[in-house]
Amino acid sequence: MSAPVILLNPIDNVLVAVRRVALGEVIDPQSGVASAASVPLGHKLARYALPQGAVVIKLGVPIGILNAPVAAGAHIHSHNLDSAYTRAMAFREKP
Amino acid sequence: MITGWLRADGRKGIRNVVAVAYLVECAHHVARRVVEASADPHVHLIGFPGCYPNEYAAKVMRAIATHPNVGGVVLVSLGCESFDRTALAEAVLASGRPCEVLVIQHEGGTAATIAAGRAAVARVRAAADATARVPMALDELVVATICGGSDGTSGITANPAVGLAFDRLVAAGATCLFEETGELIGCETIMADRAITPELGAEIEACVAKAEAYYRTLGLGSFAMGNAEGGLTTIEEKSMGAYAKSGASPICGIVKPGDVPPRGGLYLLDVVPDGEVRFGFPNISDNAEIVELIACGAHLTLFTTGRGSVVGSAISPVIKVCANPDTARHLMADMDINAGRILLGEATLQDVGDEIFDRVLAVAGGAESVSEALGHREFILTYKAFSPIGPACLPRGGRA
Repeated sequence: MSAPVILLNPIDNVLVAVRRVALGEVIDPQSGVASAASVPLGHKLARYALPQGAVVIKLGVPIGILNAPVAAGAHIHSHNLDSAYTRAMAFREKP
Repeated sequence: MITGWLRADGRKGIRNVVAVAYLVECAHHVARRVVEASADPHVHLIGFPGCYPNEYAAKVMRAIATHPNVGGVVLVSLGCESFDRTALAEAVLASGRPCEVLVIQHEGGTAATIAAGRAAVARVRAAADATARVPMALDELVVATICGGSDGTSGITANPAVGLAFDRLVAAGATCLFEETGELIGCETIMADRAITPELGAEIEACVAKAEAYYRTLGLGSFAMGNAEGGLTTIEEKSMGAYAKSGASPICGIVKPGDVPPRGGLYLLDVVPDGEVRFGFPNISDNAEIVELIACGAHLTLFTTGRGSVVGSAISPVIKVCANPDTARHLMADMDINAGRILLGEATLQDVGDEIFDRVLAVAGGAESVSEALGHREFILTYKAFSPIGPACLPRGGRA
Protein backbone atom coordinates (compact mmCIF):
# COMPACT_ATOMS: atom_id res chain seq x y z
CA MET A 1 0.00 0.00 0.00
CA SER A 2 1.36 3.45 -0.90
CA ALA A 3 1.89 6.15 1.76
CA PRO A 4 -1.57 7.36 2.91
CA VAL A 5 -0.70 11.04 3.27
CA ILE A 6 1.56 13.74 1.85
CA LEU A 7 3.39 16.58 3.61
CA LEU A 8 3.00 19.41 1.10
CA ASN A 9 5.48 21.79 2.77
CA PRO A 10 7.98 21.09 5.57
CA ILE A 11 6.41 23.80 7.78
CA ASP A 12 2.85 22.45 7.42
CA ASN A 13 1.09 21.22 10.58
CA VAL A 14 -1.34 19.08 8.59
CA LEU A 15 -0.90 16.05 6.36
CA VAL A 16 -3.18 15.57 3.33
CA ALA A 17 -4.73 12.19 2.47
CA VAL A 18 -3.64 10.92 -0.95
CA ARG A 19 -6.23 8.09 -0.85
CA ARG A 20 -8.89 6.91 1.61
CA VAL A 21 -7.18 6.73 5.03
CA ALA A 22 -8.60 4.23 7.52
CA LEU A 23 -9.30 4.98 11.20
CA GLY A 24 -6.21 3.98 13.18
CA GLU A 25 -3.90 3.85 10.15
CA VAL A 26 -0.39 5.13 10.93
CA ILE A 27 0.15 8.38 9.02
CA ASP A 28 3.62 9.28 10.31
CA PRO A 29 5.92 6.27 10.71
CA GLN A 30 8.52 8.38 12.57
CA SER A 31 6.22 9.58 15.37
CA GLY A 32 3.74 6.71 15.12
CA VAL A 33 0.81 9.15 14.84
CA ALA A 34 -2.32 7.37 13.59
CA SER A 35 -5.40 8.78 11.90
CA ALA A 36 -8.25 9.51 14.31
CA ALA A 37 -10.83 9.28 11.51
CA SER A 38 -11.59 7.58 8.22
CA VAL A 39 -11.16 10.29 5.57
CA PRO A 40 -11.20 10.40 1.75
CA LEU A 41 -8.53 11.78 -0.61
CA GLY A 42 -7.83 15.49 -0.16
CA HIS A 43 -8.78 15.75 3.53
CA LYS A 44 -6.46 17.05 6.26
CA LEU A 45 -5.13 15.31 9.38
CA ALA A 46 -3.25 17.01 12.25
CA ARG A 47 0.46 16.21 12.12
CA TYR A 48 0.68 16.71 15.91
CA ALA A 49 -1.54 18.03 18.71
CA LEU A 50 -2.60 21.66 18.24
CA PRO A 51 -4.28 24.08 20.68
CA GLN A 52 -7.47 26.06 20.08
CA GLY A 53 -6.55 29.26 18.22
CA ALA A 54 -3.65 27.62 16.37
CA VAL A 55 -3.11 28.75 12.79
CA VAL A 56 -3.34 25.78 10.45
CA ILE A 57 -0.55 25.77 7.85
CA LYS A 58 -0.94 23.94 4.52
CA LEU A 59 1.26 24.44 1.43
CA GLY A 60 3.41 26.58 3.73
CA VAL A 61 0.70 29.21 4.23
CA PRO A 62 -2.08 29.85 6.80
CA ILE A 63 -5.46 28.47 5.78
CA GLY A 64 -7.52 29.16 8.92
CA ILE A 65 -7.73 29.09 12.74
CA LEU A 66 -8.72 26.12 14.94
CA ASN A 67 -11.85 26.76 17.01
CA ALA A 68 -11.06 23.78 19.28
CA PRO A 69 -7.93 21.91 20.40
CA VAL A 70 -7.13 18.82 18.31
CA ALA A 71 -5.12 15.67 19.00
CA ALA A 72 -2.41 14.33 16.70
CA GLY A 73 -4.04 12.55 13.76
CA ALA A 74 -7.38 14.41 14.11
CA HIS A 75 -9.45 15.21 11.04
CA ILE A 76 -9.31 18.98 10.42
CA HIS A 77 -12.29 20.34 8.52
CA SER A 78 -15.29 22.65 8.85
CA HIS A 79 -16.17 21.29 12.34
CA ASN A 80 -12.96 22.64 13.91
CA LEU A 81 -11.40 25.09 11.40
CA ASP A 82 -12.59 28.66 10.75
CA SER A 83 -11.57 30.92 7.90
CA ALA A 84 -9.43 33.86 8.97
CA TYR A 85 -10.59 35.71 5.87
CA THR A 86 -14.31 36.43 6.04
CA ARG A 87 -16.34 34.06 8.16
CA ALA A 88 -19.37 34.44 5.93
CA MET A 89 -17.39 33.29 2.91
CA ALA A 90 -16.06 30.09 4.46
CA PHE A 91 -18.07 26.94 3.97
CA ARG A 92 -20.22 26.15 7.03
CA GLU A 93 -22.36 23.07 7.63
CA LYS A 94 -26.04 23.96 7.95
CA PRO A 95 -26.97 24.00 11.68
CA MET B 1 19.47 24.78 -26.73
CA ILE B 2 16.46 26.68 -28.07
CA THR B 3 16.56 28.16 -31.57
CA GLY B 4 14.14 31.05 -31.90
CA TRP B 5 12.81 33.21 -34.73
CA LEU B 6 14.22 36.73 -34.29
CA ARG B 7 11.64 39.54 -34.52
CA ALA B 8 12.37 43.21 -35.20
CA ASP B 9 11.53 44.25 -31.62
CA GLY B 10 14.28 41.93 -30.34
CA ARG B 11 11.91 39.31 -28.98
CA LYS B 12 12.24 35.74 -30.23
CA GLY B 13 9.56 33.20 -31.08
CA ILE B 14 9.52 29.43 -30.44
CA ARG B 15 7.10 28.96 -33.37
CA ASN B 16 6.71 30.75 -36.71
CA VAL B 17 2.95 30.85 -37.06
CA VAL B 18 1.03 32.52 -39.88
CA ALA B 19 -2.10 33.90 -38.20
CA VAL B 20 -5.29 34.25 -40.24
CA ALA B 21 -7.57 36.65 -38.39
CA TYR B 22 -11.26 37.27 -38.95
CA LEU B 23 -12.26 40.74 -37.78
CA VAL B 24 -15.97 40.00 -37.27
CA GLU B 25 -17.98 36.76 -37.05
CA CYS B 26 -19.26 37.44 -40.60
CA ALA B 27 -15.73 36.74 -41.88
CA HIS B 28 -15.13 33.66 -39.68
CA HIS B 29 -16.16 31.04 -42.22
CA VAL B 30 -14.01 32.45 -45.00
CA ALA B 31 -11.00 32.75 -42.66
CA ARG B 32 -11.48 29.16 -41.44
CA ARG B 33 -11.60 27.87 -45.03
CA VAL B 34 -8.39 29.74 -45.82
CA VAL B 35 -6.68 28.08 -42.84
CA GLU B 36 -8.02 24.62 -43.75
CA ALA B 37 -6.92 25.00 -47.37
CA SER B 38 -3.34 25.69 -46.29
CA ALA B 39 -3.03 22.21 -44.70
CA ASP B 40 -0.15 23.71 -42.68
CA PRO B 41 -0.23 22.99 -38.92
CA HIS B 42 1.48 26.34 -38.34
CA VAL B 43 -1.25 28.41 -40.01
CA HIS B 44 -3.65 29.31 -37.17
CA LEU B 45 -7.11 30.84 -37.03
CA ILE B 46 -7.66 33.76 -34.63
CA GLY B 47 -10.30 36.47 -34.57
CA PHE B 48 -12.83 38.67 -32.84
CA PRO B 49 -16.54 38.04 -33.49
CA GLY B 50 -17.98 41.43 -32.47
CA CYS B 51 -19.21 44.05 -34.92
CA TYR B 52 -19.14 46.90 -32.37
CA PRO B 53 -15.82 48.49 -31.44
CA ASN B 54 -13.94 47.44 -28.28
CA GLU B 55 -10.61 48.91 -27.23
CA TYR B 56 -9.62 45.80 -25.27
CA ALA B 57 -10.24 43.48 -28.25
CA ALA B 58 -8.25 45.78 -30.54
CA LYS B 59 -5.33 45.80 -28.06
CA VAL B 60 -5.34 42.01 -27.62
CA MET B 61 -5.55 41.42 -31.40
CA ARG B 62 -2.63 43.82 -31.94
CA ALA B 63 -0.59 42.12 -29.20
CA ILE B 64 -1.24 38.66 -30.67
CA ALA B 65 -0.66 39.69 -34.29
CA THR B 66 2.76 40.99 -33.19
CA HIS B 67 3.48 38.12 -30.77
CA PRO B 68 6.98 36.62 -31.09
CA ASN B 69 5.50 33.24 -32.13
CA VAL B 70 3.81 34.94 -35.12
CA GLY B 71 5.76 35.33 -38.37
CA GLY B 72 3.07 36.93 -40.50
CA VAL B 73 -0.63 37.77 -40.63
CA VAL B 74 -3.54 37.65 -43.07
CA LEU B 75 -6.56 39.74 -42.04
CA VAL B 76 -10.03 38.77 -43.26
CA SER B 77 -12.61 41.56 -43.04
CA LEU B 78 -16.22 41.56 -44.21
CA GLY B 79 -15.88 45.26 -44.97
CA CYS B 80 -18.49 47.06 -42.87
CA GLU B 81 -17.53 45.94 -39.32
CA SER B 82 -16.12 48.55 -36.96
CA PHE B 83 -12.79 46.78 -36.29
CA ASP B 84 -10.04 49.10 -37.56
CA ARG B 85 -8.31 46.73 -40.03
CA THR B 86 -6.03 49.46 -41.38
CA ALA B 87 -4.62 50.26 -37.93
CA LEU B 88 -4.06 46.56 -37.20
CA ALA B 89 -2.38 45.97 -40.58
CA GLU B 90 -0.14 49.01 -40.04
CA ALA B 91 0.87 47.74 -36.59
CA VAL B 92 1.78 44.33 -38.03
CA LEU B 93 3.78 45.86 -40.91
CA ALA B 94 5.51 48.26 -38.50
CA SER B 95 6.60 45.23 -36.45
CA GLY B 96 8.54 43.97 -39.49
CA ARG B 97 6.08 41.19 -40.33
CA PRO B 98 4.35 40.53 -43.65
CA CYS B 99 0.63 41.32 -43.57
CA GLU B 100 -2.12 41.10 -46.18
CA VAL B 101 -5.70 42.33 -45.90
CA LEU B 102 -8.69 40.72 -47.62
CA VAL B 103 -12.07 42.44 -47.67
CA ILE B 104 -14.85 40.02 -48.60
CA GLN B 105 -17.12 42.77 -49.96
CA HIS B 106 -14.31 43.95 -52.27
CA GLU B 107 -12.93 40.55 -53.28
CA GLY B 108 -16.27 39.36 -54.65
CA GLY B 109 -17.65 37.12 -51.94
CA THR B 110 -16.92 33.82 -50.22
CA ALA B 111 -15.27 31.70 -52.94
CA ALA B 112 -13.23 34.57 -54.37
CA THR B 113 -11.94 35.57 -50.94
CA ILE B 114 -11.02 31.98 -50.02
CA ALA B 115 -9.03 31.72 -53.25
CA ALA B 116 -7.35 35.09 -52.65
CA GLY B 117 -6.70 34.08 -49.03
CA ARG B 118 -4.91 30.87 -50.06
CA ALA B 119 -2.55 32.87 -52.26
CA ALA B 120 -2.06 35.49 -49.52
CA VAL B 121 -1.20 32.80 -46.95
CA ALA B 122 1.34 31.28 -49.35
CA ARG B 123 3.05 34.67 -49.85
CA VAL B 124 3.03 35.50 -46.14
CA ARG B 125 4.33 32.01 -45.30
CA ALA B 126 7.21 32.40 -47.76
CA ALA B 127 8.14 35.79 -46.27
CA ALA B 128 7.84 34.47 -42.70
CA ASP B 129 10.08 31.51 -43.57
CA ALA B 130 12.85 33.97 -44.42
CA THR B 131 12.97 35.10 -40.77
CA ALA B 132 16.39 34.63 -39.18
CA ARG B 133 16.76 31.77 -36.69
CA VAL B 134 19.02 32.51 -33.76
CA PRO B 135 19.95 30.95 -30.41
CA MET B 136 17.42 31.80 -27.71
CA ALA B 137 18.31 31.87 -24.02
CA LEU B 138 16.02 30.85 -21.19
CA ASP B 139 15.84 34.49 -20.03
CA GLU B 140 14.09 35.33 -23.32
CA LEU B 141 11.29 32.84 -22.67
CA VAL B 142 7.84 33.79 -21.30
CA VAL B 143 5.89 30.97 -19.64
CA ALA B 144 2.31 31.25 -18.36
CA THR B 145 0.18 29.04 -16.14
CA ILE B 146 -3.55 28.49 -15.73
CA CYS B 147 -5.76 25.88 -14.07
CA GLY B 148 -9.04 24.50 -15.41
CA GLY B 149 -11.31 21.64 -14.48
CA SER B 150 -9.80 21.71 -10.98
CA ASP B 151 -10.59 19.18 -8.28
CA GLY B 152 -9.28 18.26 -4.82
CA THR B 153 -6.01 16.98 -6.29
CA SER B 154 -5.11 20.13 -8.29
CA GLY B 155 -3.85 22.06 -5.28
CA ILE B 156 -1.73 19.23 -3.89
CA THR B 157 -0.03 17.81 -7.00
CA ALA B 158 -0.08 19.68 -10.33
CA ASN B 159 -0.29 23.23 -8.98
CA PRO B 160 2.60 23.07 -6.48
CA ALA B 161 4.63 21.10 -9.07
CA VAL B 162 4.12 23.94 -11.58
CA GLY B 163 5.13 26.32 -8.76
CA LEU B 164 8.45 24.46 -8.41
CA ALA B 165 8.98 24.60 -12.18
CA PHE B 166 8.18 28.34 -12.09
CA ASP B 167 10.79 28.84 -9.35
CA ARG B 168 13.45 27.14 -11.51
CA LEU B 169 12.39 29.14 -14.58
CA VAL B 170 12.46 32.47 -12.72
CA ALA B 171 15.84 31.56 -11.19
CA ALA B 172 17.12 30.93 -14.75
CA GLY B 173 15.94 34.42 -15.78
CA ALA B 174 12.69 33.48 -17.56
CA THR B 175 9.52 35.57 -17.34
CA CYS B 176 6.57 33.78 -15.71
CA LEU B 177 2.90 34.80 -15.64
CA PHE B 178 0.07 33.59 -13.38
CA GLU B 179 -3.51 34.81 -13.25
CA GLU B 180 -7.15 34.70 -12.18
CA THR B 181 -7.39 37.06 -9.25
CA GLY B 182 -10.93 35.77 -8.63
CA GLU B 183 -9.39 32.46 -7.58
CA LEU B 184 -6.82 34.17 -5.37
CA ILE B 185 -9.29 35.63 -2.85
CA GLY B 186 -7.79 35.15 0.61
CA CYS B 187 -4.20 35.06 -0.69
CA GLU B 188 -3.84 38.79 -1.26
CA THR B 189 -1.88 39.66 1.88
CA ILE B 190 0.54 36.75 1.35
CA MET B 191 0.91 37.77 -2.30
CA ALA B 192 1.40 41.40 -1.32
CA ASP B 193 4.26 40.35 1.00
CA ARG B 194 6.02 38.83 -2.03
CA ALA B 195 5.82 42.07 -4.05
CA ILE B 196 9.16 43.75 -4.81
CA THR B 197 7.84 47.14 -3.60
CA PRO B 198 5.22 48.04 -0.94
CA GLU B 199 3.34 50.09 -3.57
CA LEU B 200 3.07 47.02 -5.81
CA GLY B 201 1.85 45.04 -2.77
CA ALA B 202 -0.97 47.57 -2.29
CA GLU B 203 -1.87 47.23 -6.00
CA ILE B 204 -2.04 43.43 -5.62
CA GLU B 205 -4.43 43.74 -2.67
CA ALA B 206 -6.58 46.23 -4.60
CA CYS B 207 -6.60 43.93 -7.60
CA VAL B 208 -7.99 40.98 -5.56
CA ALA B 209 -10.52 43.26 -3.83
CA LYS B 210 -11.72 44.32 -7.30
CA ALA B 211 -12.11 40.66 -8.30
CA GLU B 212 -14.03 39.85 -5.10
CA ALA B 213 -16.44 42.76 -5.71
CA TYR B 214 -16.87 41.85 -9.39
CA TYR B 215 -17.74 38.22 -8.66
CA ARG B 216 -20.05 39.29 -5.81
CA THR B 217 -21.95 41.56 -8.24
CA LEU B 218 -22.31 38.62 -10.62
CA GLY B 219 -23.71 36.59 -7.71
CA LEU B 220 -20.97 33.98 -7.94
CA GLY B 221 -19.42 32.57 -4.79
CA SER B 222 -15.99 31.07 -5.17
CA PHE B 223 -16.58 28.22 -2.71
CA ALA B 224 -18.84 25.28 -3.61
CA MET B 225 -20.10 22.15 -1.84
CA GLY B 226 -17.87 20.02 -4.07
CA ASN B 227 -14.83 21.85 -2.71
CA ALA B 228 -15.74 20.85 0.87
CA GLU B 229 -16.35 17.24 -0.17
CA GLY B 230 -12.88 17.28 -1.66
CA GLY B 231 -11.46 18.20 1.75
CA LEU B 232 -11.16 21.97 1.33
CA THR B 233 -12.42 23.88 4.39
CA THR B 234 -11.86 27.62 3.90
CA ILE B 235 -11.83 30.08 0.99
CA GLU B 236 -8.17 30.85 1.63
CA GLU B 237 -7.32 27.12 1.54
CA LYS B 238 -9.02 26.74 -1.85
CA SER B 239 -7.30 29.83 -3.19
CA MET B 240 -3.92 28.63 -1.90
CA GLY B 241 -4.28 25.56 -4.10
CA ALA B 242 -4.60 27.76 -7.19
CA TYR B 243 -1.99 30.20 -5.84
CA ALA B 244 0.55 27.34 -5.46
CA LYS B 245 1.10 27.54 -9.24
CA SER B 246 2.94 30.82 -8.73
CA GLY B 247 5.78 29.21 -6.75
CA ALA B 248 7.78 31.21 -4.22
CA SER B 249 9.62 33.84 -6.30
CA PRO B 250 9.18 37.57 -5.63
CA ILE B 251 6.27 39.14 -7.56
CA CYS B 252 7.72 41.77 -9.91
CA GLY B 253 4.54 43.35 -11.23
CA ILE B 254 0.93 43.31 -12.37
CA VAL B 255 -0.04 43.36 -16.05
CA LYS B 256 -3.38 43.54 -17.83
CA PRO B 257 -4.20 41.72 -21.10
CA GLY B 258 -1.94 42.97 -23.90
CA ASP B 259 0.69 44.50 -21.59
CA VAL B 260 4.18 43.05 -22.08
CA PRO B 261 6.19 42.71 -18.85
CA PRO B 262 9.94 43.43 -18.81
CA ARG B 263 12.33 40.48 -19.22
CA GLY B 264 12.66 38.14 -16.23
CA GLY B 265 10.66 37.58 -13.06
CA LEU B 266 7.18 36.59 -11.96
CA TYR B 267 4.11 38.67 -12.90
CA LEU B 268 0.41 38.56 -12.01
CA LEU B 269 -2.07 39.01 -14.87
CA ASP B 270 -5.17 40.92 -13.76
CA VAL B 271 -7.99 39.45 -15.87
CA VAL B 272 -10.95 41.09 -14.09
CA PRO B 273 -12.37 44.11 -15.98
CA ASP B 274 -12.31 47.61 -14.48
CA GLY B 275 -15.34 49.71 -13.75
CA GLU B 276 -18.91 48.51 -13.43
CA VAL B 277 -19.88 44.99 -14.58
CA ARG B 278 -20.64 45.45 -18.28
CA PHE B 279 -20.03 42.39 -20.45
CA GLY B 280 -20.73 39.55 -18.01
CA PHE B 281 -18.22 36.95 -16.86
CA PRO B 282 -14.61 38.15 -16.77
CA ASN B 283 -13.61 35.14 -18.89
CA ILE B 284 -16.24 32.80 -20.28
CA SER B 285 -13.91 29.79 -20.57
CA ASP B 286 -10.31 28.72 -19.98
CA ASN B 287 -9.20 29.62 -23.52
CA ALA B 288 -10.27 33.25 -23.04
CA GLU B 289 -7.65 33.43 -20.26
CA ILE B 290 -5.04 31.60 -22.31
CA VAL B 291 -5.51 34.18 -25.09
CA GLU B 292 -4.92 36.98 -22.56
CA LEU B 293 -1.74 35.30 -21.29
CA ILE B 294 -0.52 34.98 -24.90
CA ALA B 295 -1.36 38.66 -25.45
CA CYS B 296 1.15 39.39 -22.65
CA GLY B 297 3.82 37.55 -24.62
CA ALA B 298 3.54 33.98 -23.30
CA HIS B 299 5.44 31.57 -25.58
CA LEU B 300 3.72 28.59 -23.97
CA THR B 301 1.19 27.86 -21.22
CA LEU B 302 1.26 25.26 -18.44
CA PHE B 303 -2.34 24.10 -17.92
CA THR B 304 -3.10 22.12 -14.76
CA THR B 305 -6.27 20.05 -14.63
CA GLY B 306 -7.85 17.58 -12.21
CA ARG B 307 -11.09 16.66 -13.96
CA GLY B 308 -9.33 16.57 -17.33
CA SER B 309 -9.38 19.42 -19.86
CA VAL B 310 -8.25 18.56 -23.40
CA VAL B 311 -7.74 22.05 -24.88
CA GLY B 312 -4.70 23.58 -26.52
CA SER B 313 -4.39 26.99 -28.14
CA ALA B 314 -3.61 28.87 -31.30
CA ILE B 315 -0.28 30.77 -31.41
CA SER B 316 1.38 29.35 -28.27
CA PRO B 317 1.54 25.64 -27.31
CA VAL B 318 -0.24 24.41 -24.19
CA ILE B 319 1.43 21.81 -21.94
CA LYS B 320 -1.13 19.93 -19.84
CA VAL B 321 -0.33 18.72 -16.34
CA CYS B 322 -2.83 16.20 -14.98
CA ALA B 323 -3.31 16.39 -11.20
CA ASN B 324 -5.54 13.38 -10.62
CA PRO B 325 -4.27 9.79 -11.09
CA ASP B 326 -7.76 8.49 -11.95
CA THR B 327 -8.19 11.17 -14.66
CA ALA B 328 -4.71 10.36 -15.96
CA ARG B 329 -5.74 6.74 -16.47
CA HIS B 330 -8.69 7.80 -18.67
CA LEU B 331 -7.21 10.81 -20.46
CA MET B 332 -3.43 10.32 -20.53
CA ALA B 333 -3.51 10.53 -24.35
CA ASP B 334 -4.38 14.22 -23.85
CA MET B 335 -1.83 14.94 -21.11
CA ASP B 336 1.85 15.87 -21.25
CA ILE B 337 2.65 15.29 -17.58
CA ASN B 338 1.05 12.98 -15.01
CA ALA B 339 1.36 14.74 -11.64
CA GLY B 340 -1.12 12.20 -10.20
CA ARG B 341 1.87 9.89 -9.73
CA ILE B 342 2.66 11.98 -6.64
CA LEU B 343 -0.46 10.57 -4.96
CA LEU B 344 0.54 7.00 -5.87
CA GLY B 345 3.97 7.44 -4.28
CA GLU B 346 5.63 7.01 -7.70
CA ALA B 347 7.11 10.51 -7.85
CA THR B 348 7.74 13.49 -5.57
CA LEU B 349 6.58 17.05 -6.15
CA GLN B 350 10.19 17.91 -6.98
CA ASP B 351 10.40 15.07 -9.56
CA VAL B 352 7.27 16.36 -11.33
CA GLY B 353 8.43 19.99 -11.04
CA ASP B 354 11.68 18.98 -12.76
CA GLU B 355 9.76 17.03 -15.40
CA ILE B 356 7.62 20.11 -16.15
CA PHE B 357 10.75 22.27 -16.40
CA ASP B 358 12.34 19.80 -18.85
CA ARG B 359 9.12 19.63 -20.90
CA VAL B 360 9.02 23.45 -21.14
CA LEU B 361 12.55 23.42 -22.59
CA ALA B 362 11.66 20.60 -25.02
CA VAL B 363 8.50 22.31 -26.32
CA ALA B 364 10.33 25.65 -26.53
CA GLY B 365 12.96 23.78 -28.53
CA GLY B 366 10.39 22.67 -31.09
CA ALA B 367 8.92 19.41 -29.72
CA GLU B 368 5.12 19.37 -30.09
CA SER B 369 3.05 19.41 -26.92
CA VAL B 370 0.33 16.74 -26.82
CA SER B 371 -2.54 19.17 -27.54
CA GLU B 372 -0.49 20.74 -30.34
CA ALA B 373 0.12 17.33 -31.96
CA LEU B 374 -3.61 16.54 -31.64
CA GLY B 375 -4.38 19.70 -33.63
CA HIS B 376 -5.93 21.79 -30.84
CA ARG B 377 -5.86 25.46 -31.90
CA GLU B 378 -8.58 27.03 -29.72
CA PHE B 379 -8.95 30.81 -29.69
CA ILE B 380 -11.65 32.98 -28.13
CA LEU B 381 -11.78 36.73 -27.64
CA THR B 382 -14.81 38.62 -26.31
CA TYR B 383 -15.78 42.09 -25.09
CA LYS B 384 -14.12 43.51 -21.96
CA ALA B 385 -13.12 46.89 -20.57
CA PHE B 386 -9.90 47.80 -18.75
CA SER B 387 -8.26 50.94 -17.45
CA PRO B 388 -4.46 51.13 -17.90
CA ILE B 389 -2.34 49.67 -15.07
CA GLY B 390 -1.28 52.08 -12.31
CA PRO B 391 2.26 53.52 -12.09
CA ALA B 392 3.20 51.16 -9.21
CA CYS B 393 2.30 48.01 -11.18
CA LEU B 394 5.55 47.60 -13.11
CA PRO B 395 8.41 48.91 -10.91
CA ARG B 396 10.97 47.59 -13.41
CA GLY B 397 9.40 48.94 -16.61
CA GLY B 398 7.56 47.13 -19.39
CA ARG B 399 5.06 48.06 -22.09
CA ALA B 400 1.49 48.85 -21.06
